Amino acid sequence: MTMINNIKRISAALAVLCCVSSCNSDFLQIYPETSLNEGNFYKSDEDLVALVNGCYIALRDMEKRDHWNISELKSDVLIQQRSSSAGDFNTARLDEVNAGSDNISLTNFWNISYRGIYNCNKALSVLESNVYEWTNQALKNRSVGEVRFLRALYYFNLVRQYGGVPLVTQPVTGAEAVDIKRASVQDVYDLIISDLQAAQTAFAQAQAVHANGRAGLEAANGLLGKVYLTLRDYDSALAQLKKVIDSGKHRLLDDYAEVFNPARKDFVETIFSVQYSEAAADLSNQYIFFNAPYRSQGEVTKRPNIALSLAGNMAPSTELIRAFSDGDKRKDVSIAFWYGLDWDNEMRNLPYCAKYKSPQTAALNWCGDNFPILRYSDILLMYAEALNLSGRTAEAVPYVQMVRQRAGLNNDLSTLSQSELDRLIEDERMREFCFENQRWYDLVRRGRALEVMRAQGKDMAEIQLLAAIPSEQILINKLDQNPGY
Amino acid sequence: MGQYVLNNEIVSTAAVSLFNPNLGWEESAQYDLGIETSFFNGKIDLTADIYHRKSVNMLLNDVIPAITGFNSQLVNKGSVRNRGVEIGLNIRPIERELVWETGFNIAFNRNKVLSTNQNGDRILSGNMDGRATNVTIVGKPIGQFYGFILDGVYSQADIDNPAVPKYNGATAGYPKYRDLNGDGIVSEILDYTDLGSPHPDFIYGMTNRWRYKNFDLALNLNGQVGGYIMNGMRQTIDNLQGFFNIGKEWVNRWRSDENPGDGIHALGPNAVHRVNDKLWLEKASYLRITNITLGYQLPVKPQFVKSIRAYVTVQNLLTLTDYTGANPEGQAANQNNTLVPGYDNATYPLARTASFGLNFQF
Repeated sequence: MTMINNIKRISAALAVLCCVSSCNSDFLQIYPETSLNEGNFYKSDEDLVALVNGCYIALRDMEKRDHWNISELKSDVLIQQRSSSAGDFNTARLDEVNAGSDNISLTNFWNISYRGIYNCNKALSVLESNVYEWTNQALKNRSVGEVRFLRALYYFNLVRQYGGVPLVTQPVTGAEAVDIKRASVQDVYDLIISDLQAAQTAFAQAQAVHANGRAGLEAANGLLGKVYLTLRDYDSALAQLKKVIDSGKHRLLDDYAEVFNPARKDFVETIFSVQYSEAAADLSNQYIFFNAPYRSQGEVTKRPNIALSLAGNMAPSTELIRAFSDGDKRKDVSIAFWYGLDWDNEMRNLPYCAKYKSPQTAALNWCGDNFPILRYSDILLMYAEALNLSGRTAEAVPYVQMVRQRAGLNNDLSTLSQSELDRLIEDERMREFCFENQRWYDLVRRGRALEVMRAQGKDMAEIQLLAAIPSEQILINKLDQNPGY
Repeated sequence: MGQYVLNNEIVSTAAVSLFNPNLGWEESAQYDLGIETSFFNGKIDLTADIYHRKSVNMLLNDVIPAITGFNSQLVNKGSVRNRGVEIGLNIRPIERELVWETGFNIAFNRNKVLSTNQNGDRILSGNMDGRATNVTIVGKPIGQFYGFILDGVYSQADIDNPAVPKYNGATAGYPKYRDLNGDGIVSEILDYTDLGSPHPDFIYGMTNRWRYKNFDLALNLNGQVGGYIMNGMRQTIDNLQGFFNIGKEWVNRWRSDENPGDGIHALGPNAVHRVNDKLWLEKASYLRITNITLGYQLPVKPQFVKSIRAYVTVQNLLTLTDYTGANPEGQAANQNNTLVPGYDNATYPLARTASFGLNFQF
């Protein structure tokens, strides 16, 4: 009888294969939270704050790995080991600067960015409607500022990666989305700037409720400065960056290493960072686990129970290691070495990114280092760059000096010409911000990417200055691809 | 509800999602025609069923542009037709001192997707290293395998010849895939196609019972013919990454243009190999002896006992199949997802159990 039953069961399963009833859990699992009725859901300030908190999640998710792959790994500071057995082909193509429209990191980054934008749009539509009367008006202002800031940040990353992208500023349905095509680069930047200006206005009326980890006024000022610098509008950049400097709220830490100390998270030099925690897998990052040399087992990660199958295929480049002069205190904070077996079974001193640490207490690969988005040294170096490029070289020098002195470098820069200082600032940014997803954008905005990448031996095509639009979106959203892909 | 953390302090987040207020019940209309009859004084019983079922307003994950914030949305727009034949036979060919009863059944089912969303977009499903493994296309059965057509291995001449379509980063020895859309570049998704059906042509089963004097013997079989299964275990580990034990076929891998091997096993990095292609597709046909039992009625028995029977039984004695994974039926329960049929993601093997026993009847 067992057999007959089995056969019946199999036949039945096949016969009804496609006629799954509406309670199949797989169909529903993406969809559990939607039955809330918005009309009566938002009952307190906390409910709306929770809605705004959700706007940070996409940022947290993209910075775990995908953004790293398409910016830091793609730049000259990291290299991926290439052999027939090592490494992931997708990341290898990013490292070689020849990723196409099917690259999974580029696809993920697109999807996660728009998930974040959707969350912002949704939150904004609620904040701007009158479904709820806030008890604490400052909290409302802070919330508006955060959402506007985050939407600007998502679009700023998108436009720097892909060029003009579809501009979505309110929740849209699938049917509506098909008709939304790529906007011009200028239109995207216009939205970014208006969002950041709105964030500044809102944050200015929310100073009393600012909290560590949240975006705030100085983050909006600093990011707007970076946007203007990217657009080469130096006067506007200087005006925004000066606000951060004059606010007195942030300063350089005396010890560069303390910026990256997960046991005592920094909110003094760090103006805005993605927040991670060891409390849960979702909340954590795995930086040390994909940076540790592949055969180092637990010697680097301190977690020998965690397999390093995808680790160690990326390493700081020789160019980066050589860029640090003797006595530069940032070198040992940024790069460490592990002596052991390489992929080809040779013993070597293998460099790895050491800015992000092994877990403090978590037993698994859950790390809590925050990932910096905007630091005070970034403000100083951007300010110096904008001054210098505005012909105010002598005024720029002290800001560069501040960053260098903290790193233990005291040589006199006053004799440098404008172009020499400009180049020094570029290199200084590489030393200061390696492994912080800055280098690729620096090279592109300064028009130096082709030169630098080719000097490193990468056969970079000019089309790679913009990333390929993910193929799935070419098919489904009927978007135009960037030229050359 | 999700979570975010602010300076080590966990805060809750309100999750929001697209919602579709128009979701309703799916409906299906079914026509059945069946007969039940017996011949030769009940020596042969026959049951046969023909059915035709059309399901409409099926819930499915409509593919939508990612700029909505989502890649799919639950809608009520799918329709699928299933039709098939099921035949069952029970026969008692010998009923003398030796008794033999046997049953045979066979089932054919054909399903075809009639519609998806208003644009007729295909639905992608499954996940292998971030890639879809199955595709549901209007006009075809649900959940066809989805991937590249493997055309061999690139030679140096291929690499040097710009007329041969390639993916970025390809070098001699890497797998050669077909550029289906003809744009000159081999791209995942854009050049993916339907690789074959996970659905069997038919499934069947057979039961037998023999009795002779004090002995009884039962033998049950089942199996399927046709259909492919994607061996997710091999897809994951059977590569040259260096971590895993691999198949002996890799002895014949590409080594150089002079020594190109079997033309299938390439020398690329593992991520290329994890792409869906025919390398991981295997035939799912099988025949299994699901149960064999031999019993013996003891001729002597104590008082108060009606009978004593000693038996030995073996479950899952033998499976005849070309499939190299643990269980060719892996597809039946795979990933709990109707849209991912036939993807065997390391299904747990069936245990073979042998038991010996005594039956007392009072």
